[in-house]
Amino acid sequence: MEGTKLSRRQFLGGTAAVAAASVLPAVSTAGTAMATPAGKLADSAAALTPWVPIDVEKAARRGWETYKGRYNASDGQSG
Amino acid sequence: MLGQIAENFPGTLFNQVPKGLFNFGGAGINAWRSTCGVPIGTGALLAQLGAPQNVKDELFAWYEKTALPTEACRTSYEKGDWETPGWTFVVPKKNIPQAVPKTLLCHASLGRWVEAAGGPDGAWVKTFGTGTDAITKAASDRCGKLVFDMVQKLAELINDWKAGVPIAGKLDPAVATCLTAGCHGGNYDVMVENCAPHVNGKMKCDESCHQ
Repeated sequence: MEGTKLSRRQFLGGTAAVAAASVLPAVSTAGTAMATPAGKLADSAAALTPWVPIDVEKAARRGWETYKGRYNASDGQSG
Repeated sequence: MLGQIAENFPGTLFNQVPKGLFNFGGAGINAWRSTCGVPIGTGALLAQLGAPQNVKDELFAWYEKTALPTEACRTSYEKGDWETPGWTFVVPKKNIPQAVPKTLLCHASLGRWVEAAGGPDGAWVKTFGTGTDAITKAASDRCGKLVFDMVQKLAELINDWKAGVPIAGKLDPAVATCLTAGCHGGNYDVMVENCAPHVNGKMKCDESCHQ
């Protein structure tokens, strides 16, 4: 398998697909739309109620697009 | 997915999580082929959400035991509403070969899939072209679909967890005996230094080395 020289870049994105994918719009508008929240992430996690269900297919598609490089520049993807 | 959560819950810190924070996991962490970047990213999100262990275990065990990738990505594409202009869009191929990873590790997970697909010079890979470029493209198609599958499963799990649906988080049965037999047990049938004796985790350990 090592001899096949699989491109490193082709495999980047697994993590970005999940953790970084859809953050951009929210981050880019956060400064103008609202004050920076204070506190800990755990407090924010506890405040996610009532839960608004995630659009499963939308999330999955976004993950695929991220892996395939659609958002590389804006997501700061390296390698 | 973080974007959806940020949009659904404005004013929380979820719109402040740095984008690209977990990009280091790509290709098994900086292309070292260790832990697959997909469970790294999904695990990070579950941790940020404060998910309990059973939810995390359910997701990782699903990755470990499921024949992947599924046709879900291709099926979604065939609905015809994907945004294809404006970027280097590559159509996800139909009827991709599948393999059960039996591990969370990139090296073995990808390797098992390449074998299931007929090897780097097999018929499936040749549908992507010739030479090393073909296997690169074939693997990209596979791993992209793996991301699709895993994110889909993650979203389903989070929605279920938040809705109070019981989630087993059941590990592979072999894990219970990892320290009493085989590589990690007392009767070493392979080189001890390769097997981390007396040390186990949650990965299945009966059918394959999770190296």
